Amino acid sequence: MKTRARSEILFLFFALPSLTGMLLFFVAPLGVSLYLAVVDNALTYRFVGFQNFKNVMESEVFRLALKNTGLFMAICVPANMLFPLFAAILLRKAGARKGLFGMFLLLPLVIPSGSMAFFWRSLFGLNGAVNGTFFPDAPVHWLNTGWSRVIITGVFIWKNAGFNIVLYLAGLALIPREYYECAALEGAGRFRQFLQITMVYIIPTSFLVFIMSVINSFKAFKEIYLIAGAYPHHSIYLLQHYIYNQFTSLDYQKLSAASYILMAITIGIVVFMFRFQRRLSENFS
Amino acid sequence: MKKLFTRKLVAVLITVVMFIGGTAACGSLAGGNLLNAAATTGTASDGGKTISIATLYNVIGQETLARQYMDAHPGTTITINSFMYDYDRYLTEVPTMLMSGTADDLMEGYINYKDSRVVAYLADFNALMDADPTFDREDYYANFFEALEYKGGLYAYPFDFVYDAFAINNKLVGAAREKVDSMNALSYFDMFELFDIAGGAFPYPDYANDPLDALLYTIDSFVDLENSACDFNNARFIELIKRSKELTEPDSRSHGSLSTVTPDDEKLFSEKYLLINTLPQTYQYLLPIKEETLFSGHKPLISEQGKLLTMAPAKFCLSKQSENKDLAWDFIRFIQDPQTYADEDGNITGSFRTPSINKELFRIGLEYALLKPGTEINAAGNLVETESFFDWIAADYGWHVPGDRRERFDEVLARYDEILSMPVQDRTLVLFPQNVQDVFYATMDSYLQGLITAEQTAEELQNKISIALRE
Repeated sequence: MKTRARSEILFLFFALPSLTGMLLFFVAPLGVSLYLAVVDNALTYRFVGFQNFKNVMESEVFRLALKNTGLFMAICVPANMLFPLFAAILLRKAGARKGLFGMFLLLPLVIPSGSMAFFWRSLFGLNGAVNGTFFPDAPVHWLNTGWSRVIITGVFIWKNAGFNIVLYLAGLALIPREYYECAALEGAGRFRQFLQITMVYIIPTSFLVFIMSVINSFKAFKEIYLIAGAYPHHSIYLLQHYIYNQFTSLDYQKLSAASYILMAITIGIVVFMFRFQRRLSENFS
Repeated sequence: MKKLFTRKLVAVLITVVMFIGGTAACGSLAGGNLLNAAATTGTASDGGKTISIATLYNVIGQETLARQYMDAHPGTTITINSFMYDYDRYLTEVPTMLMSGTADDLMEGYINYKDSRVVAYLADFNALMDADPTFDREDYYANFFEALEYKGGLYAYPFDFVYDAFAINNKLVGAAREKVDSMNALSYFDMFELFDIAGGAFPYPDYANDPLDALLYTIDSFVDLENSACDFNNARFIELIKRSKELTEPDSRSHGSLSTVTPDDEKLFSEKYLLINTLPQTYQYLLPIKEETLFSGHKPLISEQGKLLTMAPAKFCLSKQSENKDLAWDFIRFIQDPQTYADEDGNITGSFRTPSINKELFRIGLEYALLKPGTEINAAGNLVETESFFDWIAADYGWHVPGDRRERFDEVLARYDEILSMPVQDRTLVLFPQNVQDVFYATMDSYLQGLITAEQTAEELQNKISIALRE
């Protein structure tokens, strides 16, 4: 009994620094944000209930940002799962060149965002390489037309695929080779092997990749901001732009309310996906 | 028991940490330690009333007036919180102080008094005016109050005004003059029309040092701050920026403003130039006098039709949280009382040179500027009397100031009454939120560099600024 109590105290002693940090830098600000989201301003602190949430939800610009983020997520999440999966499968079969290809695919992961933004701007800027090569007489304003969505989606996938490839490579490595050999002996083709072995055993990894991609797509901002600024073309104006711009204009109420809405949506999706995954696992087992 | 104790200890510890964390976070958000310029307001230790003033530029002027006021009103204290010409710091810190309840009572008006987020923290001067039985709007050029209003409230009280002026060559404009609507407030489209009629071949000296700056003022005509809307994507704006670009080509600007124009240039102007950019603080006094100069107005490229485009360099905002609004208002009245500027013998010198929106102060200032000899320190270091402005014009430029000087002065004053009775368009740059200015600069820069067309510029501005305004 004594030993158990001592180990509990010891545990708390070691956990205290990180617990304190978490409380100070996550829990407390979260509480303050909630407080700011339900008062009228940072001067009188008059309680207004859900009025700030209502104001934010009624804002046309917030709804535009929400719609764009949803669309961005709908494109980026599947693409950010499929492309890395196939890249990981191909990498496993690349033999001696595996390391070289892997380095190319993982390179975007280690490039600093500033350099990356400079690179993409130098490609698609008004006086960038693409215009200079293909449209020297009538340059296309790539980042201020509907094309910006395509470009930004490409950048996001290019930037984040590397991490997902690593996850898939780890997931694929866990599938015993014997399963494929056995299936081959039974006459299963490659596509059937992929569908009934790879896809089944990769579900836990895919789930992790999915969750990470959803969260990353909600948080997508840094690269887009560096490439297109705080006020990009309206088709790529995301929730993070809205929140960042409220921060720069010192509107704490809208900032806090919008952040809570974003957090609620993210948690909602993640909880839904956890339940979905549990049900899927039960069905397979 | 020990386990229970341990749990309680952890619970207490967490509570304390959360409390400290929450308090620290609240404190930092409330801005308690954000700034070292803490405002002083309320009641002084001796029981007298105290206000503080956040000052950006006019430190000496404010200190002098504050001292005068305190001498005249024993028991009151006015402190000056100087930002020492640090415009960026002022723009950043004062709104933050305002929103965190630590602002000075009065603030020089370099904050956005037409932004609902800022206005929520400011007192309405209309209410103070209405509550003061000794205040009469008739004593002021009240159009300036109306120009600065936002949603029916006046959140910045103006003291003076300037407007940019162009002198237009009457001889060259000729018949075209009759075809434009209002020569008192020429719109940019009137200006273009004059150019077209006059053949478009006239140089346009010194349009502006920075065309981007000049164009920034134009957005006032295309942005509706009260309704958070804008309308750039139209033929009028596209025409405007196309013309502005043509007019601001380096070859089109061959001369400086009047301060650098020599009599020879002046002769050239009378023969060749369609218009000339002038300094409002000096040349505006000449314009109603000089016969061959047709028109005194403001920069025509940046106005709406029929409106006098002005700005009020000196204005005060009053914090809603101020505990001594009555003292602050009384100080404002004091600043605009002509008797404040009387010397020991009771003579009002008119040494304030910026035109006041108070009619009496304006008259005194104009009289001083045009008729009274000035003073300067000569090479020997002695203070000597100089000639009056009318005399200076005659001596330096050979311009004739016909008739009795006093009569001419009355004519000038009457002309000003006419001009200043026109509707006023507030062109204060700070009104445009920084994000709007940033978007405008970046987009127009691309246009002026030739990277995008005028049509693309209009579309991009419409797209981005409409989002920035409605966020």
